[in-house]
Amino acid sequence: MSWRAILTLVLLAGAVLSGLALWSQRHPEHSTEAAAGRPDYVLHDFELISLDENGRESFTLRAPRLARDPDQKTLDIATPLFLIPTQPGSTSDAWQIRSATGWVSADGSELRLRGKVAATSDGRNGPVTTMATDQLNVFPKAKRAESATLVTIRRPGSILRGRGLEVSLATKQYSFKSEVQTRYVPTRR
Amino acid sequence: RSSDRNQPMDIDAGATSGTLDDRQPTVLSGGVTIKQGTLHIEAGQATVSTRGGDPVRAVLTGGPVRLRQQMDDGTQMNAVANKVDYDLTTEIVVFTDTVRIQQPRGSLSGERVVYNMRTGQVNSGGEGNGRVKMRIVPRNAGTTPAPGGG
Repeated sequence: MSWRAILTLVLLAGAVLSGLALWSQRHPEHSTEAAAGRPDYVLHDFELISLDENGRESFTLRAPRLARDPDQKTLDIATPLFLIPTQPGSTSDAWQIRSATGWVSADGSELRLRGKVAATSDGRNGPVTTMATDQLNVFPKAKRAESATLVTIRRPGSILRGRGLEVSLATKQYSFKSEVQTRYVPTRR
Repeated sequence: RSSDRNQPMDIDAGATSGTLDDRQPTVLSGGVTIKQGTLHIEAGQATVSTRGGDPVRAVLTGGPVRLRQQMDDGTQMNAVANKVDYDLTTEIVVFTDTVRIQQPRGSLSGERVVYNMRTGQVNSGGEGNGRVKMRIVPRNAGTTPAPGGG
């Protein structure tokens, strides 16, 4: 066999090997993503009660679907209903908050609610208050919520709207950073 | 106008803070505009107190504060001061610090003026509040005699 034939065979083998290598790597990101994207457990139509470090209820969550990310240990929830209780002896209201989607951090200290967010206080310690926005980050242990987008707050006799909300669910102290509009409608006359 | 009190009150501001109940007044800053019927106020900052969800008092500063409102007799009242304390239930307004009030019937300036928006009654000056300058325009001042004294 002449050296020319040998050379041809070697080149042919090289081409085949590199083609095989390329073919096996064709969707590297899919293969890893499929593993990463896959929750390690999924719940349907559940109620979850999250307790703080003292064993007290931090919040209760009800939803039709929850999926847990095994790496981040975070929860992704469809149409969640969060129930944030008042603390014993405190003068704060209990709140219930709904949204299109929810995300819960690994330690349960932060809830990110997105899409048609509606929060309502139960009015046990003051006028019933509702909040409507597209995004709300809630910190149940700190009894605090914030939003960077426009929020509308309604109370009997007034509508308050603004951007950059920070509110304490415990003391009902709030502030807006910009674009503030308030309308008071006389309730008695 | 007295009917202003039954109209919605609209407030625009740059920023605000307060409580979602009546326990604390609402503090507004960053340029504040208050409108209620014919009442129109512009100020740097404002503190609005509420009772049962209704605004009962507005204290405005900075700017100066500019307030205008139509009286029940249809005349317009314009006021400028560095501080305005408006009791929305009695409709008595206390203007302080470089006060100037302008109305068709005359003008008034001083350091402290108490104005009853319902009756149009004015109290100004008093102990330690400096002097008051008032100009009353004769009722027919506006009509200039026709040429030839006709």
